[in-house]
Amino acid sequence: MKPRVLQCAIEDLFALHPSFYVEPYIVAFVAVTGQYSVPPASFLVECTGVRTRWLGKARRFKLEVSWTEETIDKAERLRTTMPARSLVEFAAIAVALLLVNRVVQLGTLNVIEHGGRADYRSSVLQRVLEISGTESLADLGRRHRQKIAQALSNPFGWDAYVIVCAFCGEGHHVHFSGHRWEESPYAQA
Amino acid sequence: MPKREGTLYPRAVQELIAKKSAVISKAQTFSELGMEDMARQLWATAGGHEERLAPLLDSLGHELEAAIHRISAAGCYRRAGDLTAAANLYRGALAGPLLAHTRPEVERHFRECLAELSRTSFRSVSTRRRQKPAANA
Repeated sequence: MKPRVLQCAIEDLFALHPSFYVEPYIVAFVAVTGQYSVPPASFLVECTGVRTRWLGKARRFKLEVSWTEETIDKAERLRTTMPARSLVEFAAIAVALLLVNRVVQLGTLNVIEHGGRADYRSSVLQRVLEISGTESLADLGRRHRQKIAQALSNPFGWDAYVIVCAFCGEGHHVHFSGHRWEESPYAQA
Repeated sequence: MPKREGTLYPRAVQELIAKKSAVISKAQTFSELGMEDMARQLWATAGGHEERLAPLLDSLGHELEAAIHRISAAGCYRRAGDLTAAANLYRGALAGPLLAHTRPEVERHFRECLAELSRTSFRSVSTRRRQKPAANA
């Protein structure tokens, strides 16, 4: 069966998250993805533990993201000012913000500062969201496991969604998974 | 306060969450870009919003979340360079109902913050003391 396709423009994030400062994520997304792809860039999204009406029984879908010339100009400027690692993390946040709005509904994301890193959580469900990005497909699985452990150590004792993106020449991939707090070693404590 | 349908919080809380999330994400961006002066101001503003959110959540019976917003407020103030406010808020968070695995982490942040506060406050005093006789001489 052919996977479902979700098509959007990265600039849609302005409308999808009006109360969020999304511009740097949008521009970073183009700075990173644009190195490997011309628009629309295609992402294979593999889902586990994510149950939504939109996804139905499917476990994977294709995300196609386009962008504008104006964003390309901004991306070129951002590449010269932001460290590569931060660019990839910001690009992953852009992908995650698209997914959480279109595939699962988390409402306005509540960002908190936690030990020098930003943590995201839903304002409509008791769910946290952990996001990360890499430019190595080989690293995707390891990074995903690491982020699951991190998400399940959230200070709320809430369930978690984890979204990890690999931006690379072999084809962009996303692991999108849902986890119950009960899976956490802290829940047994 | 009436709670909006389909959300965990009433409208006023929801609006403050949206406002401070925007400020935190902006502060994070400026920090990543090395624009520390602008980032510091934003971290201080975000710390203020978090500080206001915490008792609102307490009043709604969300004590654990309130404690975590105090941790976030402390983190924001620390990044803004206001170590006194940060230390007070870490102390406040530790008085709240934290999960067992979160408490040692917050205690570590609190200790680091006190050490930093002590270094910056008492170093400047001792520097002034050292400089005083030299100036009188």
